[in-house]
Amino acid sequence: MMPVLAGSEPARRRSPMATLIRNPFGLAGLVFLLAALIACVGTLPLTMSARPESTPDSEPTPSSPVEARASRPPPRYNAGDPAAGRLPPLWVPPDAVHDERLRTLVPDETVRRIAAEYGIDPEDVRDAREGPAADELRAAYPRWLLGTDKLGRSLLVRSLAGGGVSLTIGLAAAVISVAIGTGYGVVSGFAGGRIDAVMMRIVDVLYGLPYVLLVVLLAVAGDALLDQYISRSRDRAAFVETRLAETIVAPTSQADGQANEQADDRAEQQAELIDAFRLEAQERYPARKVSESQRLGYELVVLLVAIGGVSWLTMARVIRGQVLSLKSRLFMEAARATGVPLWGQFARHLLPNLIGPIVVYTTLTVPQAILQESFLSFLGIGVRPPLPSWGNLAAEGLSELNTHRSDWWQLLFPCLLLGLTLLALNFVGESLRESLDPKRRTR
Amino acid sequence: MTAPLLTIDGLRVSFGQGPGRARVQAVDGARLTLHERQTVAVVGESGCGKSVTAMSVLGLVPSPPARVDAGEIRYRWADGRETRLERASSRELRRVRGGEIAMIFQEPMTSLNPVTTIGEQLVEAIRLHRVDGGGRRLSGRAARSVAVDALAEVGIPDPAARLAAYPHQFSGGMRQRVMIAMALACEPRVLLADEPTTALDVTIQKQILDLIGALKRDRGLGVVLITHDLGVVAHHADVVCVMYAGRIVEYSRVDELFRRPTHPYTRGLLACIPRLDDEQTPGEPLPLVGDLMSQDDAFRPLETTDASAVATPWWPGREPAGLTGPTGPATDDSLLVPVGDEHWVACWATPGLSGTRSADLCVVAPRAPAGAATA
Repeated sequence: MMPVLAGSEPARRRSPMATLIRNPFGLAGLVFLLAALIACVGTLPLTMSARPESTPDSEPTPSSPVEARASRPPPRYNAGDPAAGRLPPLWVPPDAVHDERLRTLVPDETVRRIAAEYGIDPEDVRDAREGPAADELRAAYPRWLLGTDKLGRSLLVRSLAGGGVSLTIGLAAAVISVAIGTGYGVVSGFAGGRIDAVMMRIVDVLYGLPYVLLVVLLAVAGDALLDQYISRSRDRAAFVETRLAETIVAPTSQADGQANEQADDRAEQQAELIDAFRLEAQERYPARKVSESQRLGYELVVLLVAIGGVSWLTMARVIRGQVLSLKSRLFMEAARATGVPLWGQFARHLLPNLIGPIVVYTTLTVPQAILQESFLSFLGIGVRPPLPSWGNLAAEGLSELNTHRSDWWQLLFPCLLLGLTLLALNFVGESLRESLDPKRRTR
Repeated sequence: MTAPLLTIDGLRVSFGQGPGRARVQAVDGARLTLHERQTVAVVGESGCGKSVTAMSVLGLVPSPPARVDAGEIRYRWADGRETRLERASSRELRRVRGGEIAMIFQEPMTSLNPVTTIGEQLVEAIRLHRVDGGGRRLSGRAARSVAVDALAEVGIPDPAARLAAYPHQFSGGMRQRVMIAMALACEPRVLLADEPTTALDVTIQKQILDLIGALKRDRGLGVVLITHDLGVVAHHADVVCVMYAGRIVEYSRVDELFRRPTHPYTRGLLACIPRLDDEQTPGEPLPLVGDLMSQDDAFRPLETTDASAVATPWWPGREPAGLTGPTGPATDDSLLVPVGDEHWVACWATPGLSGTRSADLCVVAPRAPAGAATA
């Protein structure tokens, strides 16, 4: 009988999630992230849709589809009156300049109502600076919770919609990067030898390419594909080609003098034929229609592929390094010596040991993807205005800061949201890593 | 006498060092036989090929760079069927690994997966190899109860609760016992113990070796014990196999070896053990093996059963000049020459010298269990 070893109390098992929640920072980060996700992504149907028209009868019925598209109300994130531009948040008392502008924004009906109430001329109501009428007018000022941007669009709506776009891109890019990077790294590290060398040289080459170039190429190629899909130029060219082949018979041999003349005639005829065929082709293969939202979705996918396709490289390198070091650890050899099949070695011995670095790099990839998206948006490749993202909202806000007037709210709120999200992600990542590490779990 | 469980015959393993460079011969004609209820100790200095020999049994040497050049590793199943392990398919090898031949590694600290619990690792191994009465895999619950029994058997207190513990919560000795429990829970017939106690202190070492010895007696386990410690060998082994430079230089029954060490290298190893009853004056350094080996009379010819041939102990680079047998000069090969009762020594191969290149002849018969009346 072996002596009982003292001082080693039996381990209590606690799930990683429970440990995560016990960590105050992790909990705070998780709560913030969930709130941000629900607020931004959950409200996307609302912010992306148009405000329902209150008076549909007053609108003239559109006579053509083009007009109909032009006169259709813009989605909420893009709806605004330039007259109401650059107004401060709700709780900030307006200064003299803002006061003047807000005064003019009060609807005429309200002004008339106030005028009737106090028995003064409606013209004078807007000019009133003191007295009960002025107070009532002030109470009727249209205000926006987080202020407006230079086109008078609500910053709250734009920040929420932008958050939806940014978070979606960030999370999706992280998922792509984790999936490709982990798979690639594990295979490369596990295979070792020549396969590993070739796979890593591919990563090195991709790493060496400037990623902006890669993204621009991808975006341009994607645009060209979309254009081709819409205009069907290939279908039309093929149609002209086949019709020409059908109609034109090979020239029969003639006397030389006549041949030249006839050749000219034939060329003329051919040109006419080609024109006719082109017209026919256009009728036969009309341009496809792509709705605005489809186009938007397509652009987002291209952006995602571009960002995800670049960010997995680091992941692959990190994971491969980890696999190499884990592979030589004795417990992997012990697993092999116990007859654990390859799949079991993978799933039960390798992956659990990789979760720490995977989680950490995922939490680093999300902010990186969000920042890259804003950078690409700035270059005009990514999210195109008027669709907002935190990145291009911040870029717009930055340009509003000047010595004349600093409309700080346009910069502050998108940046604050972005910064808090990144912080929350880091908290969650850090505490998740700790809670997945059994050595730190039972502290 | 029953056929041996495990036979290694003329095993040669080499490691490549990259293109254009010579291969390193790590194991050069190793041979040993292992019977049920027998412990074969493999001793020798670091890098002499002990671990590579053990690992090639389970096909664990990384290939490339390693390669089995020649030789046979035969395993006899319980039904008498024999498998050549060095050429077995990976599927067959997986059945043998753990289930038939288990291995314990030198470092208990790193042999267990740090991120999963002891229980999960035990259950995984058990479910891979143990089957229930109907020949099906054990259920998770049944495997857990087997794991609890295995932990109790190796002397871990409160085994049911310990299943939920992580390796870092165990001491080194406990972890090594978990490794042994994992190895034995699969009910193997052969245990390869690669320096199982090197990282542990002497009390734990004794407990673990006694445990292995008890299992050997109770279950008829065959044990290959790789060690540096000749004291351990004297107490726990039945057969000793001294290796040097990838070759076996002396192969003997354990009492025979300690009574009459014959190869100069073995004598060197034994001379280096400090003894309390030694006449050596305090403060005088112990002799080095190398010093003992360089003495002129170290490699004098041996007395063998065949007096007509000259049998000089084999040693790399020390071939005696003009060494010839009755029918010609010596070859650059070693031969295990019998020098006593179940005792062989590697000598330079000279034609006419009777010795063995076949493991079948180098057999130390298993002793009857202590409790049994007679063999």
